[in-house]
Amino acid sequence: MADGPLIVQGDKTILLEVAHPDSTEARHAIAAFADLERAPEHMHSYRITPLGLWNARAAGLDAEQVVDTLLHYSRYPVPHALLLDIAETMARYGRLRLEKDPQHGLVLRSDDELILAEVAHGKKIAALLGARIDALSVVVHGSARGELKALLLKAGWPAEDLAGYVDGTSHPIALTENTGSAPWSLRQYQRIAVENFWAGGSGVVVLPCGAGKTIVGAAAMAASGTTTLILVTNTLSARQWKTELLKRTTLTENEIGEYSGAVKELRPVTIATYQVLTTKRHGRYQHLDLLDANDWGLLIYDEVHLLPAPIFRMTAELQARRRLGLTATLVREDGREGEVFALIGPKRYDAPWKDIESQGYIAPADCVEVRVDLARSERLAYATADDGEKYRRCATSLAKSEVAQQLVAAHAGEQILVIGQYIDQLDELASRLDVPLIKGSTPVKERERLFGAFREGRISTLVVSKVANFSIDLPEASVAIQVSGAFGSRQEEAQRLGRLMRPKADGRTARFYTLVARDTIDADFAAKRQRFLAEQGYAYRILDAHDAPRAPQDLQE
Amino acid sequence: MGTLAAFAAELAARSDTGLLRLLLLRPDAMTPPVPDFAALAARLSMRASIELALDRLNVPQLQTLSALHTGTQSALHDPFLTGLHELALVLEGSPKQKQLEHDAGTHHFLPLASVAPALGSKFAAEVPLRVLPPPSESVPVPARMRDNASAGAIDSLLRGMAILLDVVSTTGVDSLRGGAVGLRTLRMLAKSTFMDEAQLCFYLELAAAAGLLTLDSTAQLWRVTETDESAADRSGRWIVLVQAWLHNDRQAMPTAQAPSITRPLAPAAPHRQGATWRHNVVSALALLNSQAAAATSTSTSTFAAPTEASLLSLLIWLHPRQSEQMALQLPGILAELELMGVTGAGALSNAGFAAANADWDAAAACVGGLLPAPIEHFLIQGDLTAVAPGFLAPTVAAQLKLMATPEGHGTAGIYRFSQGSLENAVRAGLDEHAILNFLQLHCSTAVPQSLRYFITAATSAGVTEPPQPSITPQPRAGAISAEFVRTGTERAETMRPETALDEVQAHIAKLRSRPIWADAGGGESGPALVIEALRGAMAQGAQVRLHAVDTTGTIERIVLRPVSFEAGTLRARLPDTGQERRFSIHRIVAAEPVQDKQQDKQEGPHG
Repeated sequence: MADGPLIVQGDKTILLEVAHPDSTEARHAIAAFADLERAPEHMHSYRITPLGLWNARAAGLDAEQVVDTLLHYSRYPVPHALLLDIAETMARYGRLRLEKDPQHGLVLRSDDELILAEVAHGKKIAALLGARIDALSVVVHGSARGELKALLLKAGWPAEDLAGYVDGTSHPIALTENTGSAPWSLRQYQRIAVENFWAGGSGVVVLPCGAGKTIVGAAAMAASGTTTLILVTNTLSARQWKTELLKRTTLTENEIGEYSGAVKELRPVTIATYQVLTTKRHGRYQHLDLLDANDWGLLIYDEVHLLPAPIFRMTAELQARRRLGLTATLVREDGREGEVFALIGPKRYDAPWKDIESQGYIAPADCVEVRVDLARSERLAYATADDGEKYRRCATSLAKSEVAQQLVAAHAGEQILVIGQYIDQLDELASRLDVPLIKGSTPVKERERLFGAFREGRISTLVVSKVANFSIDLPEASVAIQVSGAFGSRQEEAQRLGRLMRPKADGRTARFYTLVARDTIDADFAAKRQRFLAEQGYAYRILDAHDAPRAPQDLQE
Repeated sequence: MGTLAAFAAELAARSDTGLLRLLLLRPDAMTPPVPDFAALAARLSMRASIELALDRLNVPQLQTLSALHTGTQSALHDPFLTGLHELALVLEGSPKQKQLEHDAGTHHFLPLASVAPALGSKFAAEVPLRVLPPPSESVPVPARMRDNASAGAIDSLLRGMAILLDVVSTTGVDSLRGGAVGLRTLRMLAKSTFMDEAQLCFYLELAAAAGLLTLDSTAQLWRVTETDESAADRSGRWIVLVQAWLHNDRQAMPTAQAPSITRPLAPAAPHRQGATWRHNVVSALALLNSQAAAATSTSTSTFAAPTEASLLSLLIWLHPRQSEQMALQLPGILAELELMGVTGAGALSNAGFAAANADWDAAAACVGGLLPAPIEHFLIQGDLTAVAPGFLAPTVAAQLKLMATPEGHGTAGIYRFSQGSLENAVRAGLDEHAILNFLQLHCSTAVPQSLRYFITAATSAGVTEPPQPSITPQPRAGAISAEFVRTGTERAETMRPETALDEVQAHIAKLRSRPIWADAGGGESGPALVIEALRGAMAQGAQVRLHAVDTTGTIERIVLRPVSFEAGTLRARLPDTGQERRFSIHRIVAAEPVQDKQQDKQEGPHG
């Protein structure tokens, strides 16, 4: 029996034994058709999905190669039913093709009359189709390309899109690698991510926070050399993108525009917020024209896991343009990951966080859960609260504020973020710690000022609400204390840890504390939130509040 | 045509070897044992017995038998006749006849009258004989694909069966009247055993056939059969299951081509021939396998998987009388073979080939070589999962399951620890020391700090239910092993050819020790003689004196001319008036020929 690094399970998961000498080789081989699901320290698990198999077909892999890879690296017999399923699934790809016809424009073709008849029978698909050209082809409404592809995927007959991309308006962009006073260069994984994206046409790149997703975006722009529309989560993030692009590319201030609530600039490279695009007035989206305002050659979706539903629909109409999605956590609490893949494109690059950490590109992090006991009065209030109120009751316990204060003292001299969900709690903490608070109502200018002061080390501790969850680059933040969160949101947990992951100048390990009220639903939510990070290899230590560090000398490395 | 008396005499004249072979080929003739050769002849002349024997015949054998009955000399082939004689479907002529016929250069076999009605006329007109089986069509299967599929299926079968029995051992399986498992129960069971419903139905049927599940008809519940607690190796378990499958008389599992509305474990209609169908398919596969191996001589890198159509043609040629049923059953039987790893990707596996030839030692060796050895360690990760990178030894798995919840399914075992699962362990009587000791012994990695915290939290919180005095986790899988061993040995023994041989030989010795007509026309041979006399009279248009009991118990003696048998009654006419009379066959006590009594005396029971 072979002694390979893989164990292929009957439930379509593949386990990869990390310590096996052939694990790297095997990981590269299966990455082409299986999605990384969990990457804890010893055994990574991948999942074989129809989408993954179809993406592999699109990339030129056939079923025989996939089967061969599994048999070659597998330690035990591979369930035969799974091998048959792989062959059958992959054979479905390309039976339908979207092509550009000189006479009819966009058409859907098949080599099998019955398949075309089957899909055209569905009401939703039929509505996107025009006249029948012959038994094997039918006209497709030009704007329906994305939606049709998504529906065909759902129907189990993924279309091979041969209609190509529009080039967009040419606009040369180059990276400023190895130039200037602070020379830099693309990291190996960033280069591979961009190459994979470019070879595939469109798709999503998954990289941990702090691993340089913006640079991947910049490199994709350089590869495209066209006008680009970048969609981001908020104005601050838009400005960070602009700063980063000015630093990493040959683009000048005048070539980059901001399209947000405050400013409406349309430039060859335009950075717009999701919010402005989805703002409705008099029942219609006011700023949708932006999408057609320029012959964009590339669209970049930052934090693609947050892509709002209306943008989904717009994207469906933008299928002729290259699309790049960037994210750290492709887990959507609404379970719409599939739609991201269908509309933006398949996952083109993903790497275990710990791998990137081991290369020194993100900071190592120590995750600690601190369990606090509710005071008797709080416990009574919790016990008698309505279900809807219960979480707030336990999450905002005063016991947490006391521990937070204690931890801030223990980490004196470090850059500390105290993060929470409830404004009352944050107000109380800010005043208890005597530090500034950034929340939703804080004006953008004030936020910029405070974040700037924090970056420069003039402020060492900030209390922040969920406004700081995403896209805020705080390189020297090395301690985060999470007092409450959005229930069991895994991606919020990952994003909050992400605030600490920029490598520190002194190579210090970042600390991520989560304060949890014992024996309450807070503990249940915490367990759910932590699972994503644990599956990325970030195991939590658990401490009781009385064991938590109180002074710098209590800290153990 | 041979008469019953001639048949009995011919049977008595057979050598012990010939009789042995006959009784092994037609075991129904011995069930229950017969007192003398006359009764044996009568048993072998019964329609049901003949039907069973005819079911064994291939196309040219049936053509030959038909030709013998119709007197078509050109279609008679000695090799086939010899085979038919072995089955006692034809009689060997008397030495005098033999001499005459031999001199004439023709055969020396006689048709047996009782065979004709069952034989019918389907093959009567078929000349020339279809001596050769239809050519086989197959798909080449690379050796590694075959072995992978077969090994995967065997592993899956053993793992799935262990999980199924484990689940059933705690809850039982609710049944409808008679034992059938209802749809809702089936769905719930499928969920808790991580199986699809079709696979689960097959496993349930197989477990019941192997005696691993027993119906408690009072509680209307299927339960795991009580066993002792010794262990068995996995290849031994596989053999028990395959043997049970070969003896399973129930229908094959439903497939897309041959769906069924029957619920799993539903009471079966009597006289199903499932075991025969299964045996026939496996034998046909083994036959093709041997032929292919002979044709390709040394190459073992590719094997042939016969197409379903080709296999069906062969089976129809081998057993034409079962063609209709075989067409219905074959897809299900093939699916079952694949699920057991007897075939892999459609080609007979090495273990399957050994099983087809009842070479169980070789089969065990093949299976042993395919299955990974059990491991006794697992890894624990920061996400609080324990992963056993292989088949975790059942005793270790059973203990781990007390403290962590199994997840997913496949060769590797995955278990998730949580505060809840550890609290369950505490409820089951484990303390911190016992849990940590177990982990220290079997976990090959460091135990994460968070898991230690949970263990301490769960054990120091105290148990909410009264603790058990002590806990020695009894692995359910161990119990299953024991069951496999016990039933396996017993079943294997009943199948061992030597045992069957001993029984048959003893029976032959008993027959030899008694006169041919020891029972003097009573017992089973009596009615057979009556029917034979009546048939003879019908054929010759002769009269008989009939003794029949009427409804008052009085015996009526009447001379008449038998016309035919219809639905359990004899139709006859009175010779003088031509008036028709009908007699229920079971009321006829005797039928004496009115003429030619001399011959009857010579060959009859008193002769």
